[in-house]
Amino acid sequence: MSVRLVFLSLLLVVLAVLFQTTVFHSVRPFGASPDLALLTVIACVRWLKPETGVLLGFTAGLMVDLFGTAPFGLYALAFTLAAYATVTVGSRFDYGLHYSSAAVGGITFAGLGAVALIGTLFGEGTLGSPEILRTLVLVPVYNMLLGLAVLPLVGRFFALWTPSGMKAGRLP
Amino acid sequence: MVRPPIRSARNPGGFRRPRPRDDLSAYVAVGLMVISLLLMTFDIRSSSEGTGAVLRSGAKFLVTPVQTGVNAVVTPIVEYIDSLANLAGLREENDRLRERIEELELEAVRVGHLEAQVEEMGVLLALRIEDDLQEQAITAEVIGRGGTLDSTLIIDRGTVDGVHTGQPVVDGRGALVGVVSEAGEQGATVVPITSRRAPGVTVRLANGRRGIIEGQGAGGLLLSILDARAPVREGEMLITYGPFGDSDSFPKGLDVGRVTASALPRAGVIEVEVEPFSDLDRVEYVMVIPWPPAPDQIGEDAAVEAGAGPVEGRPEEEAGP
Repeated sequence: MSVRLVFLSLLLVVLAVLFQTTVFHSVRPFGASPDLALLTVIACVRWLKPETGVLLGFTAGLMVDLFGTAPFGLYALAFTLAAYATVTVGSRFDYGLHYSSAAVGGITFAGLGAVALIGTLFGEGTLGSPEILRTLVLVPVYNMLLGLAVLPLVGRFFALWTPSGMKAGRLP
Repeated sequence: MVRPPIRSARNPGGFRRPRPRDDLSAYVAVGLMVISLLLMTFDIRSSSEGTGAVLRSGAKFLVTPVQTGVNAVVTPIVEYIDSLANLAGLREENDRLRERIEELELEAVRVGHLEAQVEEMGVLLALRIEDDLQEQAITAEVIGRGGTLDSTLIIDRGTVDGVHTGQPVVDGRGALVGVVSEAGEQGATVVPITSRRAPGVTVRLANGRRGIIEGQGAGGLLLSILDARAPVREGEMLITYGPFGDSDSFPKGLDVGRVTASALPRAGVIEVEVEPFSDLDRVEYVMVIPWPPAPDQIGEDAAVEAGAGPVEGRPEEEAGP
């Protein structure tokens, strides 16, 4: 696996976190916005070695943690879990875009569910929020829709930087 | 070492493949999750002075200028797209607004009289932010937010502008939004009152009763009244009580929220949910209130409120003739 891929993944994740925390706070159809940071992690992890992918999830989560006031490490934990889930079901992404999209929705739901559950255990009261259900439903749906564009885009972007014939998740 | 792909009827391309035997991702994931849990524990125990706070402060220093720039570029685009999306409804909206203007012009005459009365009562009850505080308030733009389930706000004013940790933050209508939890040079983080990390707010109810409001996580507030003897009615408005006991986190008279349901005392205690006045999901501009003021200013304010001239205990008055 090329170091270049890791560097590119990090770059994409940094951009996604910035975009997520800066732009999406004013774009909230029906009171929720896509979790672009998580979506980017899912899209990038497929192209990395499993261990590196999990590390990328952890790093992205830490970046999100930097912008909030939730316990530091909460999003790192959830994103690590999501990255590991992506590694585990990684082969499903190769079945086609509809499978990929469904996987993105499922993993997003699992990641956000982890944030809500662990956040509540650590005193954040997230599960008691009246809007939690709406968020847990809408964000995965938004990510599924956005994934239809982001997954192929990230794929093409990485394909430019990888040896010819390489497929996502297939180690060189 | 990677095994060859498995071909099947559903997957003729043979993309499904077993994970390599030397895959250590499960161990790495467990290790990182343990590290995350430790980080969270340390962060909570260190109560905003630990490693997390230092890292967040550093990140704010690096990222705030970028966020401000991105916001300046993106906000007009988002607003333009919004306006395009609403173009079809603009004509109908225009007619509706014309009718509304006529109604409001009639109401304005009546409101003029009421306004004078309200202003007089406000001064009498000292329930409004003092004018000097209002003038000194620092206007800031919300340039970012926390994660998807984190309602934290990031604003574009920092210590250079006079923003400091612990200062209350209100929206354009004066409703309490939250408290500055961290302040960097160029930006600050605001923890909303609905967060469990926000300090409790002592509030005043009708008839001068006192209660405490605490955040219940994203979106919710809980009012607790100890030693309650009378019920709380739905729709009752809550404002900050001002300095009380050891707490001087908020000036008096900031709008906080509205009681969502009537409640009777049970064993002398009332606990009821409160809806915040401020729309925390949509707030774009806020004001940071320079509170608490300097100690000498508190003394002067108290003297003015009491209308009794000099404050007892101040050295210059005690040393008088």
